[in-house]
Amino acid sequence: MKPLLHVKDLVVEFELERGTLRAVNEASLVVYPGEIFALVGESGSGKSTLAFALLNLVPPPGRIASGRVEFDGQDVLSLDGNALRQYRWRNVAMVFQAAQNVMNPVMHIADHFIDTAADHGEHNRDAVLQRATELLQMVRLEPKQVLRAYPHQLSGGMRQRVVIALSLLLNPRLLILDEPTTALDVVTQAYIMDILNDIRQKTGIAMLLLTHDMSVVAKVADRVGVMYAGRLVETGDIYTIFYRARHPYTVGLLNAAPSLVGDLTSKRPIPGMPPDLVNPPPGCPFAPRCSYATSRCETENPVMLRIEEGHEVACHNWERVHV
Amino acid sequence: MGGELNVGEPIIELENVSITFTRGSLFKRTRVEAVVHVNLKIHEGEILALVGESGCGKTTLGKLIVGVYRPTEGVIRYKGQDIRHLSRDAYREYRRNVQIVHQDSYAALNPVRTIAQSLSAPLLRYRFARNGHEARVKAAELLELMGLSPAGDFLDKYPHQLSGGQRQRVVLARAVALQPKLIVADEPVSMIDVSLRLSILDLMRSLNERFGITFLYITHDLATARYFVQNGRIAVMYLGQLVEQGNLQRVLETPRHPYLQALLSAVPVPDPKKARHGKPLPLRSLDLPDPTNPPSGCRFHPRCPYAEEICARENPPLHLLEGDHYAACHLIERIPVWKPW
Amino acid sequence: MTTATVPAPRRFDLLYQTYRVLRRNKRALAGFLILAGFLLMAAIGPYVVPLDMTAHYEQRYLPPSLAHPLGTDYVGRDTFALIVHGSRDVLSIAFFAAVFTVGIALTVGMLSGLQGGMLDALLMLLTNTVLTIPKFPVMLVFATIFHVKDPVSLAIILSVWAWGGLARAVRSQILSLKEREFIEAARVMGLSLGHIIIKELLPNIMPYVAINFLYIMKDAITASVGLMLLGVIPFSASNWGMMLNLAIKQAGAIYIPQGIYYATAPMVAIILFQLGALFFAHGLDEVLNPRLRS
Repeated sequence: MKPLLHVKDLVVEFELERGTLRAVNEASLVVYPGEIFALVGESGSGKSTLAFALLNLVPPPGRIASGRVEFDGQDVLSLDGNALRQYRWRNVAMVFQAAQNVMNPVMHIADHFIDTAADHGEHNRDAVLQRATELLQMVRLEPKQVLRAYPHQLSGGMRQRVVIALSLLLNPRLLILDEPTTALDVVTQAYIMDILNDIRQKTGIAMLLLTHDMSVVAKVADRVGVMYAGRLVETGDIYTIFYRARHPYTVGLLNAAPSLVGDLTSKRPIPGMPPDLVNPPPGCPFAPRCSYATSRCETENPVMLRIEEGHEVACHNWERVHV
Repeated sequence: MGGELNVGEPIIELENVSITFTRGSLFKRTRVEAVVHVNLKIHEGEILALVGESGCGKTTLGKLIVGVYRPTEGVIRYKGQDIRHLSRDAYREYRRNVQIVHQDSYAALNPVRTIAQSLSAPLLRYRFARNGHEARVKAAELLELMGLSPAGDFLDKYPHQLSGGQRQRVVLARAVALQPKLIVADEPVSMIDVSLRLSILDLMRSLNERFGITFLYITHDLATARYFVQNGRIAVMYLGQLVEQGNLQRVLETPRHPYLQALLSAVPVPDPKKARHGKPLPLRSLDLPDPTNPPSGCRFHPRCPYAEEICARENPPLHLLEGDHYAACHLIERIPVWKPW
Repeated sequence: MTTATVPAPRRFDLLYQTYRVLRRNKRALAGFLILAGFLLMAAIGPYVVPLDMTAHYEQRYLPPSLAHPLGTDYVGRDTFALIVHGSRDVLSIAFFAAVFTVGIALTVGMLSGLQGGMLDALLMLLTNTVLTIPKFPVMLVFATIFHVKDPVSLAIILSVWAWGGLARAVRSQILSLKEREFIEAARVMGLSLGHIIIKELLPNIMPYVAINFLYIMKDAITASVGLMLLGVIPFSASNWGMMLNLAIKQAGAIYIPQGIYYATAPMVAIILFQLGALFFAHGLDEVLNPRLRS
């Protein structure tokens, strides 16, 4: 199948007073049409920066130093002006973290839809409101009431659903969601994940889901990419990652995620701390915390190896690693 | 440490405790009944998880226990005595023995004071150290105990120069400095990276096992509650009311209150086979009620799939099910078991 | 753990931080040097530079020369010496005015913020009154009613209506700090109110107060100069404000081309001081606020 999104060796750097910070370090990944790809990483992993880079939205002092981002075969990073605006929101839309708080408090929800559409050249109010109604129904909200309301009159969960509906306004083919379920209660979280699945089934849209929560990944993702210190360290489909992971960090994350069911004795934290991205140690960034590390790991940075169909790992010792 | 009931005497008792906040001016008063008729005992040496969603009143309950708020109704007892009527010495003892660990470690430390200064203040106040130098030494010992080694690297730093995990360890060190009997930990790991959470919880557990410190673990995350509490107890809150409590393992295995059943079936687990084939409990309404205008009777009744007429009329008392397992539901005998996986 | 292995804290941390900031921040360094220069001038200047107050009419309005670096005034006295001798009064007036203003503002702001309730409402009513009625006219009125004999009494007049803005700012900072978790933790640990005020709250508002101190000083100079220009305050001829008054109103220095040196010298001194205060204030924030350190 032809990939919808293809990221090749992306490098994003931030110029700071004390040096250059490499937030994304030669990251490559592929998202296929209609799939939900979960990009997993903790703070400092670079996943948010990577997502912003996909829309060419990296804020200064950051800049995309090298690499390619191809959407449907087209080079995204060379777009500018009108072409870039078309790409943003029509082809790829994004739901930011805690997005329920970014709506304009003095505008009705209906106006949010109309405004966004007008910004992209759609001025037919009735058509926009019709589409808005459909989208609000898709996220299981009552359109008449919601369109008339102001953001503060809706609960956090409702606002999050409105933002998702807004992102779908122009029929994008890829939706990027940054931690879509933090700041929401568990029951609403489960509901939203259900809705995302629903949307995907109805519209065939692909989703790039950024999260640190392995439980969320387990529930909705088709394929998973794990990021550490700006690099992709493992990619594979959901069952491969959870049951046959081969990167020590992935295994560590799975062991560090406590669960409501199952054995607790295998749960343990990952010792140590993430590396400094301005002065990273040579070799594999995870080596200082890795129980499988050998002397090779400290000097030579591992490249991504395809160890089986659809499963890639960046680790010298992957054969010894097991869940 | 840890059978079900053989921990010590109750160190904190809440008898029918309620607190109502009133806000606003003359023309627009809003009342929020944040905690409603809560009865709870915390035994010395135990680990008790207080679980609920945001807005359920668990943080408020924690602050009531620590003495930051005063209840509008009911009595809170420390070692059997009403904390509002303690003698000066008894109050000092209570103050020293009940400490709090906040969720946001950055806000919990004074940003313009060094770690050494923040740790020294309580040590000097309660004469655990006689002068600044002794306080520094003791502060260093505490940091080492919390795994911040070498302590010398941390003493003269400011909070913003530490990572989130390190800061939370400092906050824990400060809470432990006074050798308290009870620590109320309000979401202590929610703002910490996933891979580091268990190490903080392990640390807290070791404090409980080594020094017998009682922990009230307030959280919305049932999975970490299960990890930390293990053999201890759990109390579940919904909109200001305690709806279920008992031994954690038993409660999680056989949840009896419909809200807990819905909650458990909604919590995602990090296991794709289980996560994708679970059955959520169908609730009648998704939205949380307005806390200034709560439902009558049992506050869960508008969303409860089993609700009957009595539920809208009367607030259910806590029914004893077995052992120390209680649930607040009129129809508890008839609520079927719900196994989500 | 033995006492030997615990490193001692760095002594005089504040001085060290000041040194670091001045090395890095050129503007702050410039400001510091200017202010230090004025301080030196006020402290030892009068001992070093003699002031001859006798009138030498034949030497009036001389341009700058080796003997008279800034020229002479309308009766032939050395302008530079006048500036130097006047600096003591000017700076001490400004300093005392700032001390009184900050003292009142801190007291009002902290009482209001901490106590709340009725006291807060009353103090805020007072503050708002002070803020609404413009201060210069009030100072004018006070200056004419009360006899100003020395720098301290002038400082009082300058401060009695100047504390409103700072008091409000202190109050709102206290209000927000009061709710922060580290204050709650301090209360839960049973730390005394005195400790909380002095060791926990005050250090947080100190950067703001210190910077305002400098600003208040320069405002006080401006206000005193204004009062003297209007002739409301009878003062010695070496005070810069008085010099300006004399230059413009009485001696007609601005009408005589040679008089320009006499007229502008005090102006330049005032402006220079204000610039020094502004520049240094920039660096002061970095010194006092640990959060701005890496």
